Amino acid sequence: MTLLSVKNLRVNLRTDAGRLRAVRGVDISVERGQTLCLVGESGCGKSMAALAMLGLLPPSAEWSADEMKLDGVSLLNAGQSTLSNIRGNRVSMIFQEPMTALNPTFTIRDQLCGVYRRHKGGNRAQARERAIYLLERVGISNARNRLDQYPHELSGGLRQRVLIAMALMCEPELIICDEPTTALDVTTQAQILVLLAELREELGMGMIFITHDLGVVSRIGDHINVMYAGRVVESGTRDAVLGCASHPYTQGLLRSVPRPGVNGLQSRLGTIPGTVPSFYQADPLCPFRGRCERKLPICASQAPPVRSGAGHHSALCHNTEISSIAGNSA
Amino acid sequence: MTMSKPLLRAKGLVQSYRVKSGLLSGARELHALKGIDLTINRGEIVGLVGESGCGKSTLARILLGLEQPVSGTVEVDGVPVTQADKRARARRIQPVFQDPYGSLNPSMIIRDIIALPLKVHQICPADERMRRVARLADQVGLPARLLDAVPGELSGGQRQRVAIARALIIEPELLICDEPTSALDVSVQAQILNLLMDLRRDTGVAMLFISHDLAVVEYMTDRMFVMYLGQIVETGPTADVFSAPGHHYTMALQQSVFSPDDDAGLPTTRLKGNPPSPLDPPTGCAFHPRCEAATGTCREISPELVDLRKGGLCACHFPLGVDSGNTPLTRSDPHALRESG
Repeated sequence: MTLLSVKNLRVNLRTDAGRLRAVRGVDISVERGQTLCLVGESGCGKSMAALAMLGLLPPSAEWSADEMKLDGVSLLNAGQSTLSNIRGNRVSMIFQEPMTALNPTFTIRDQLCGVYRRHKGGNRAQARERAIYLLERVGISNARNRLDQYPHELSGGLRQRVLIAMALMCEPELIICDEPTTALDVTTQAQILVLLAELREELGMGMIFITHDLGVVSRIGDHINVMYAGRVVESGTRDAVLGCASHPYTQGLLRSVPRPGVNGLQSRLGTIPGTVPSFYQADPLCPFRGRCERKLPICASQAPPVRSGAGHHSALCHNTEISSIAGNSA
Repeated sequence: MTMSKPLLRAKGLVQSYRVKSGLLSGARELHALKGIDLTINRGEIVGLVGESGCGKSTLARILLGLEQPVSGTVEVDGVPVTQADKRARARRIQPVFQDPYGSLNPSMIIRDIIALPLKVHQICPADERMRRVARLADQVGLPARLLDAVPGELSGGQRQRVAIARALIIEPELLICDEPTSALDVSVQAQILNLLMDLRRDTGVAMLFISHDLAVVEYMTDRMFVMYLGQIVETGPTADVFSAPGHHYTMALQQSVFSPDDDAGLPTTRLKGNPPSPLDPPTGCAFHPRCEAATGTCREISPELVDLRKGGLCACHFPLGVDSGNTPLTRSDPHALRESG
């Protein structure tokens, strides 16, 4: 059974300027042991979608969905108490900024053991053993002594490892990682990605990985949702989306990344002209039409259809054909 | 080899700070730069890579004259620059910083932000200033209607265009770009990188391009320097450094870069541990605690930058791609080699 299934998720933020439509009808589906990447640039709604799934949206937000099921059980009408029993327990989250996600006034022990005892009960010694086991598992040497340290005493990479250990304290079924390596050095990023992939395998978790980095996606993603202006514009396996990108936005993103072995004197990077459309207007038409090189007259009058091909590869576009063959990569 | 003088030459730059690590403990010396030699030729884009805390930004600040090194010199066109001729230095060397939100005065309109250096350096009369601003705004792809806006009304990419325009308005010979695209989205980053390449082609401005993103450095630069814990550990033409890295650290950095074309799965060899604290640097080669190839020699003796190949230097006892048996590379004549950069 699908671990997490979300259909037609919408999130609006009430602002002084009106209703900001951050997420405009997004479907998300994650299987056990698989990683779904939500990819997009700032403001595309990827973080808001994740927060909605955890019931962590800011107070100014309102959301709706046609379906939101964790392991087959609907969460649509779940109250805060049900959600807080799920958060940090069956579903946990790793945030981008380890300094702000950890409480600076508590020791590592307080924060790790607190989560465990809140959800699993048990005594202090059990919680401590679990914390030490996980700190060691995430590659922190001298775990016993680290327990009594405060977050500010740790480097950025260590803090991120502590956050991962904390997210794993209750053996979650689903882990949501929101740009977990963006604030880190490239070498540390590689270590953390390997660690997350190993842990996902070992614990059979489902993972949602939010990032803007297509290189990271290529290494960690099984399935990819490309988001633009609050919608999923392309979805498919990693090989399909990266190897046979079908939506003009995905293609544009891929062309804008510098490739190994290429110098700027030989070739220019592809760019996407224009800017993201207003978030305040309800707009059923294609959100990318204002910037698209391949737009047709129909794009300005009719909502884009979902074109689909083999292996659940689909794109929201009038002017594309899904040509990918499952497993075929460029 | 041309005998023309490099545009900028830094020699033996050393910087250290006194930091207090606790309330009761005394101040300790943090060695941020430990003798950096670096040259930048006219019209050249030189890359500088390394992890956070390696001293990249300290070096940038010294080259810009924003701080004074403990020792070492910076020469422009063969002439040493001192704190006294700050204005003359600023005339020739301009910065583009990472954060386009923090580096523009939020209460000034864009037109005045870009024009300010002209005023400060008294380069042209007021009526000519606005013509130059308009021309440059066009060159950096900034719509004219935004010239009367304030920074708060601009996107991150537009602000970075303003920062670049402001740096270029007095036609400097060198731009120091410190992580100029790290805060931007990928599609916006591509626009800014293309813009910098165009400006280099059209104006011949040289750049020091500081970044932690190796893919961007490979794309942008002609020659590059790799820094680790306050030292240059490898330098050479960018294409050579990428195709045949000499230092194990350079190799590890490269293996940490992911391209969307890869379907190689997760990286296999990866760097262990984190960079050591500059307050408590390791003995010998600063990289030895993380290096797979480290031996007793590496723990004891700090390697010098020596010739690796034509135009390339590397500070490693056992560089990659060089069959040195068990004998560490010996120092040949580094002073002669330094001239070859």
